[in-house]
Amino acid sequence: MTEPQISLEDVWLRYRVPEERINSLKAYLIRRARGEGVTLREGWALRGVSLAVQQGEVLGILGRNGAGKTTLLKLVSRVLLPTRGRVRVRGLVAPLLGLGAGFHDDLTGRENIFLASAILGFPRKHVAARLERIVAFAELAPFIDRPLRTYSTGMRARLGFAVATDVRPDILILDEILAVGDESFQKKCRQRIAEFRQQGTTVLLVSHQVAMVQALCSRAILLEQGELLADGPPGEVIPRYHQLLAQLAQPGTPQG
Amino acid sequence: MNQELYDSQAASRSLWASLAEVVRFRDLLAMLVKLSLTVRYKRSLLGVGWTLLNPLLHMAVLSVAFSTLFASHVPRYPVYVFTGLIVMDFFSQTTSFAVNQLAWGSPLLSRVWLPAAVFPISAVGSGVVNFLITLLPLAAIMAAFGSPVSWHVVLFPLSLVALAMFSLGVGLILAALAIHFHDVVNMWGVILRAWYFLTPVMYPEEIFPKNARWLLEVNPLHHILLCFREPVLAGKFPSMEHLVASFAWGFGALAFGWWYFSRRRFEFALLG
Repeated sequence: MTEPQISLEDVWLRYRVPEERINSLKAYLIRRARGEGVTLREGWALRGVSLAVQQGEVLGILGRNGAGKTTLLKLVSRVLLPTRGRVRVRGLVAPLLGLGAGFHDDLTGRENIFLASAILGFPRKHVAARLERIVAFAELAPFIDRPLRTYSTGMRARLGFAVATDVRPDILILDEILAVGDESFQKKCRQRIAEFRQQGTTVLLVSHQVAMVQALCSRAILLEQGELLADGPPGEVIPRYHQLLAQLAQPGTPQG
Repeated sequence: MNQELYDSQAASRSLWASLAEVVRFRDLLAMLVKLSLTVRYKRSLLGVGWTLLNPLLHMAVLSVAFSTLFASHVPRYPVYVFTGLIVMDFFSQTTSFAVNQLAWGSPLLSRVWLPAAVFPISAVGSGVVNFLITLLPLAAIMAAFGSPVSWHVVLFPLSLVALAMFSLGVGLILAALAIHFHDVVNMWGVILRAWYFLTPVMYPEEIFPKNARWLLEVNPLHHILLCFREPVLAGKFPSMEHLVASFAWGFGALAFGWWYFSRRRFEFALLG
């Protein structure tokens, strides 16, 4: 057995948010001056999650809102550190959360390709060599020297997808974003993801569309209130998810 | 297979590791600096002219108002004011801009791993470029008012380095605070205004009240400004006292700012 591509060992993640929303420094200083502290609400976004994902697996992550799905993705993308436990990730992670973040309206499409690539940490000279391919994939050749402010939402999304997936990542993170552009572009996106999978890219997919998890994933996990409830083939985990939703929907059931 | 391994336990939070991360993202840093300069110029009719014109106009107004008043203390008043203005402008613009830059970048920080410090650093970087541009009108004013030029003017990078370090340190603290508190920029504006009037920018140091002189001693910008002014105006090496104070403040602010900012780093991602 090889080293897993992603491994989480007993991962806990605590968050602390102020009980009342204090978002001005003035209000904060006044409270402190009066001797009133700020009470923090603590909670655990993840509680003791252990998970090992092998290279090439396509993992579907199921769970209700606030179950810890996004937190899990953030830990893998290394933007969050676990409070307890250990996260190990091997290889290049391509985050596709929120396409188009990191673009600048005043720059042209071409300049934005360089900017978004720099944000993803790709060296500039490599990007220059790949520029044409990125533009062609995004189908934006006639518009590439126009400022981004003239682009439609669909065009931005296409550009974002083209930049982020131009280099085959070892791990691809998909957070409900397969709805990019029109029907034909969506098909292209799915094709590209399928190619990555054939070449051994590991995929993490968060989706509320159970059908998508069923169709694409080789494995699924179910999170509820930060705990890993189930882990196995989608055929087993999806019924478990439905069961959970049904339980929670019943009137009189105490909710967390 | 050449695959980079990330281990959360080994994720070093040491100073060297975080500096190395910034160096790795130097392409992004360069782009952010370029972006802030070009956007600033693209949006305005005069373009790069603004950088030159703004302190010049400011200087002209102050010179008309105060030249005669301070003539006995300050021989070439326009040069005196201009040196003060470009140092104070650097500080106020880069610190405020650090907040804006991080605000622009914060949605990214919850999605992509990248060193958050590149945003405040880029603000100071664009300030340095602007500062260098304004040295041209400074030279013009010096020529126009017959200011003697000594070789000591080449020492200006000394004060610029201290100024950049101090501004970055303050900018890091403000940017980290502004993630939680939206009114930081407004409050900072008030503080900057007071700071401007408490620093001998437009008036000679001698008229500062005797019993409040300690305010000058503890004012980092006063020391940094003198390190810039002494070589340019008096044609001498900056006094050791001001040089030491400037760099002590520069290092101190940067070290504290970096520490505070790094400690808050993961909160940016939680809030995003």
